[in-house]
Amino acid sequence: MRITRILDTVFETKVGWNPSTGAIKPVHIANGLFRALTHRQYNTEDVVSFAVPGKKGEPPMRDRTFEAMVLKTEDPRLKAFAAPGLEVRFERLREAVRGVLAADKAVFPSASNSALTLTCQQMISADDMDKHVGEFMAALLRGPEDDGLGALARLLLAQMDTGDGVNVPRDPISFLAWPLLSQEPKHLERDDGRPMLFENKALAPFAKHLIAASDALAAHEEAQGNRLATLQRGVQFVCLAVIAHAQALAAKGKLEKRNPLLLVTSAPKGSRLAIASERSLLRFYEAFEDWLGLELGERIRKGQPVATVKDAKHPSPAQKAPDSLNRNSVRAWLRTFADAKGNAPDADLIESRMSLFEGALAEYGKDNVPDVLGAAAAACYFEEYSGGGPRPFLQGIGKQVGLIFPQAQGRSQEKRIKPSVQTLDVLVKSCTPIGRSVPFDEFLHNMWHRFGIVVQGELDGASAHDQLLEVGIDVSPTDLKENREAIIEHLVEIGLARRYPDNVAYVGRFDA
Amino acid sequence: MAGSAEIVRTLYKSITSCSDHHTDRVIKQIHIPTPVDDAIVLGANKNKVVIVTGNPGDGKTHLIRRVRDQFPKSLRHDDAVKTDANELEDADIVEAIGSALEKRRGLILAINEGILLEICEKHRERLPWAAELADRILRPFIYGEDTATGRPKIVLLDLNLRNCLGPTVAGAALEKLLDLVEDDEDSSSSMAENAKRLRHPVVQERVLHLLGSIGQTGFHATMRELLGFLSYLIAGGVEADQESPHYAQNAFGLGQGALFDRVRELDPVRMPMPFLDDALWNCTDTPADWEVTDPGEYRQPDDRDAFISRKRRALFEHRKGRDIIRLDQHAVEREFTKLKNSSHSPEQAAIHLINNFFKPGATAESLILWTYHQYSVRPIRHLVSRQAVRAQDLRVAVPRLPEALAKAFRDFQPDHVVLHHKDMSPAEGLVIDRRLVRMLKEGDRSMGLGSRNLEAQKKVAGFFDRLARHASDQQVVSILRLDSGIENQIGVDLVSKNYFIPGG
Repeated sequence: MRITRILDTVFETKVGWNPSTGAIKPVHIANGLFRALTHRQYNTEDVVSFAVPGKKGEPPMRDRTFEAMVLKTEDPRLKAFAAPGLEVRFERLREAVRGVLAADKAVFPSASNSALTLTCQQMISADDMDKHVGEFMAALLRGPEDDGLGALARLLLAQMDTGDGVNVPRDPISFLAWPLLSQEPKHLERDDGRPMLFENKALAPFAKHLIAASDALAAHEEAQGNRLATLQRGVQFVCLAVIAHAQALAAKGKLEKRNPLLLVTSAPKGSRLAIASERSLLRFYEAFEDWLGLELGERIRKGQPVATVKDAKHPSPAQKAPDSLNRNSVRAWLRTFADAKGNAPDADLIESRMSLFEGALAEYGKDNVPDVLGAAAAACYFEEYSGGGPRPFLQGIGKQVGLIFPQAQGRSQEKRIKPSVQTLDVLVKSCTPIGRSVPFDEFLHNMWHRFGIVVQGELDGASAHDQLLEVGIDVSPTDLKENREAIIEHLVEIGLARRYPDNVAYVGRFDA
Repeated sequence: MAGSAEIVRTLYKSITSCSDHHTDRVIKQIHIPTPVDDAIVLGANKNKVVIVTGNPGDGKTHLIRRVRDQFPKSLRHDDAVKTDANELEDADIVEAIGSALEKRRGLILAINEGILLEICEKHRERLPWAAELADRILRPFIYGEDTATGRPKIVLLDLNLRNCLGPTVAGAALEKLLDLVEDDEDSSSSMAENAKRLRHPVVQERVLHLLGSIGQTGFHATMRELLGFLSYLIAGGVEADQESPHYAQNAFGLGQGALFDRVRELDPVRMPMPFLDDALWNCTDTPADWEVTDPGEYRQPDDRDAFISRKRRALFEHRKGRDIIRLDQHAVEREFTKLKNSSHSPEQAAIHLINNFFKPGATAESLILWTYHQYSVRPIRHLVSRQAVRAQDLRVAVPRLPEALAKAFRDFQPDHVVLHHKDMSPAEGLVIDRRLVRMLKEGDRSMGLGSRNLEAQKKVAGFFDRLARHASDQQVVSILRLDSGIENQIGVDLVSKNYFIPGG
C-alpha cells in the first residue's frame, strides 16, 4: 500500500469525505452536491464538445472542428451557422460559451471528467473530483430525519428541478446551453442510510448549528429571485461547512475547544493581525492532521488494519502494526508502505520516516504505542504527499471559495482568513435571520458557533483573545478591537451592516 | 454682554464635550431655534412620549433643557424629563416608556440613537412599541406615493435628520455668534474684526453657500460641530490673549473634526479657476473686482503663500468667488442631481449609470440584467443576459419624511434615492447614494473595470436578483466579454431546440 492511501479508511469511516487532493474546486463540489441531491447525472458530451474544441494549445479534435460539427454532420441545432462567412461567428460563440460554462476552469475535452459551471440539473456530470464532499453535505443538508429535507436542500433541489425538458430555466446560461443538453438522466441509486454525521453523537451540536445556518441562508435565498445566485451561495455555504466540519472533528465535537479561525479584513500582510490570522489557519490544519493521526492510532489500538481500501497501484497490504515502539519493529513497519509513486521506500526515505516517528514519540510518549504509531504514519503521509492531503485540500477549497486570502496560487505562502465580498455575504446570510438585522455581537456569536470563526469579543464564556491564546496565538485585545472596527466598516461599505455611535452596529440586509 | 465673546471662543474647544457643562444662561445664549423645538413642545403639551434621538453632539440634551420651561406643569419634574437617558439602565428606560404609554402620561427623553436601537431590538419580541420604534429608526423614510400609516404613540425626533448646514440653521447660528461677539466690548480686536467682515451680506451668503454645499453632499453635521466650526471661523481656536487669523484662513486651517475635514476638501486652493487664479497669482486684480476690500491684505506676485490666502479670501469676498464652489462641476454631484430630479426621467439616468457600469456606451431604454455565474472566487470574464426591464417599468423614489417629521426637519436633504420596479416595494429596491454613483461612474472609464468593483457589483447584483422576477425574458442571449468588450448574441428557439442568428 502506498503511504498516500493509509488515511483513506479513516476518511471513509470517520470523516465522510476524502481530503486527498489539492486540486479540488467549488465547482466539483457543486457537481457532487447536486448529483447527490437529485440522484441524477447526465451525459454532457454534446455541450462539452461544443465548448471545448480540444486540448489547450492544440488544434481542435477532428470531430470538433467547425467543418465536422456544422458542415459535415448537419446538426440541425447548429445549422444556422452553415451559411457562408459564419465560421468566425461560430468560433466566437464557442469561445463565449466556454467562458461561461467553464468559468470555474474545470471543463476538459473529456465530458465525464468535466464539471461545468452548472446552472441546471442537465449539466450534472459523472465527474467525481468532489471526493464525496457532495454526498456528505447533501446528507447534512437533508437533515437528521431519514426522509427529511432541510430548507436549503429543499430550495436547492427546487432550483435544480426547474428544467424538466418542457419548462426551461429562465436564467440565460441554462437557456443558452439548452439545445446542447441531454434530457435523459441516468438515475442513481439512493443512499438512504442515516448520514454518518448524525450517527456521531459528539458532533450533534455542530450539526445543529450548521443546520441553523443553512436554514438562515435558505430563508434569505427564498426572498430573492435569482436562482443562479442561490445555487452559487448554496455551494459556497457547503464549502464553508466542509472547513467547519474539519474544525469540529479536530475538536472531537467540543465546539468550545475548536481552533478558532481569526477573520480579518483590512490587515495588510505582515501586520500583527494578519500574522495572527495566518497562525490560526496553521493551527487549524495542524489540529486536523493531529486528529487524523490519532484516529489512525485508534484503528491500531483496536487491531484493525490502518486501511482497508484497495490500492490498485500498489496492492500489497500494509503489515499489522507492531505492538511496541521498538525502533527496529517500527522501521520494518514503516518500510511496508510504498512511496507516493508506488515504489519501495529507499534508505533516505526510511530515515525521514523514522525521524517523524521520533517526533511522534516525543509528542505522545512511550506508553501510548498506538497513538505514536498512528501519528508517525500520518506524519509520513503529510510529508510525502506533495500537493495532496488534508492541508492542500482545505486550503484549496478555502481559497477558491474566497474565505482564504490571497486566493491566487503562489502569490504568498502565508494565507489568512480574509473573506471576499461574496463569502462575507454568505456568512452574513447564514448568521442572521431574514427581515431583521442583529447586533454585531450576536452575528459574531453565530459565526463562531456555526463556522468556528472569531473576530473579537466574548464567545462561550471566553474572550476571542483567550481562545486564540489557548492555541498559542498572542494577539492583543487592542488589535482585536481594531479588527472588529475594520470588519464593521467593511460590512457597512458593502451594505451588510449599519453603524451607530456608542459602539452600536447591526448586521443584516439593509435596504431602503 | 461681558463674557459673551468668550463663550463663542470656547465653543470650538468644547466640540467634544456634552452640553452638561453649559449653564442655562449659556444654553439660552447659544440656542438656535428650529422647528424641532416646536415639535417637542407640541408633543409635551399633548402628553405624548417624545424621544429626541440622534448622534452625540446633535444637541438633544441642550434642546430639551432650552424648551423645558414651555412644557406643561405636569412635565416639569425629573421623572418626566430625562435629558440624558444614555446614563440610565436599560430596564429603567423601558419601564419609563412603558409606564408613560400605559398611563398616557407625557415623557420627554433624550437618548443616543444606537443605544435606543439596541434597547428596542432587545425588547422587540415582548414590547410592540419597541418593535415599532426599532423599525422607525431603521427605516425613517417614506418613498414615492407611500404615506405614513397610523398615528404613532411615540413622537420620535431623530436629530440626524436635521440639516444643520442648511441656510436656515447655519444662518441663524452664524447670526447668533456674531451677535455674541459684537455684544461683548471686551472681545479681542481680531475676533471683532472677523465678526465685522462676516457681517457683510455677501460674505455671509458665501459662508452659507460653502456649508450648504457640504450639506448637499449628504454629510450630516451635528449642531455642536456647526457651532464649533463657526467659533473657529471667528476666533481661530486660539487662546484669549492671542490674535486670530483672518476668518478665510481659519475656514480651511487646522480645525479638528469631520466638518473641518469636509470643508478642507473644498479649499479654494484645490479648485482651479484659470482667469481668477492668474489674476490673484500675478496680483493684477483691482479693488473693483472685490465685493469686500481689504487694503491691508498681503499682495505679492508669484508668492505661493500670498496666493493661497488671497484665493481663500476670494471665495468669500471676490465678485466671482461664488463660482469657486460649484457642485455641478463634480461628476458625482451632477449625476446625483439628475437622479433626484423627478421632472427629467431619473429612471433613464439610473439605467444609463448602471448599464454603463457593465458596458460603456450602452443605451438607457431598458435596464439590462447582466449576470454571471461561477462557484470560485476569480475575476469575472463574461457576463450573460437575456432579461431586461423597460425604463417605463422602473421608478426612482426620493426619500421623504413622514408629514409630522417633515414639519420639524424642513431643511432635510435626502442622501440617496431608490431605484425599484413599479410592482416592487421600494424596500426591495437599489439604494443609490453618492458613494454608489461614484463607483458606478468609475466603472465606465475603462472597459469592464466597473464589473470588478466588488462593492458596487454586489449591490447591483443583489438588486438584479430581486428584480429578476419582474423582468421580461428574451429569446436572444447576450454574452459580454469584459476584457475586450465584445458582445456575442445568439438566439435560441426552444421549440425546435435550435440556435438562430439574431437578425439573420
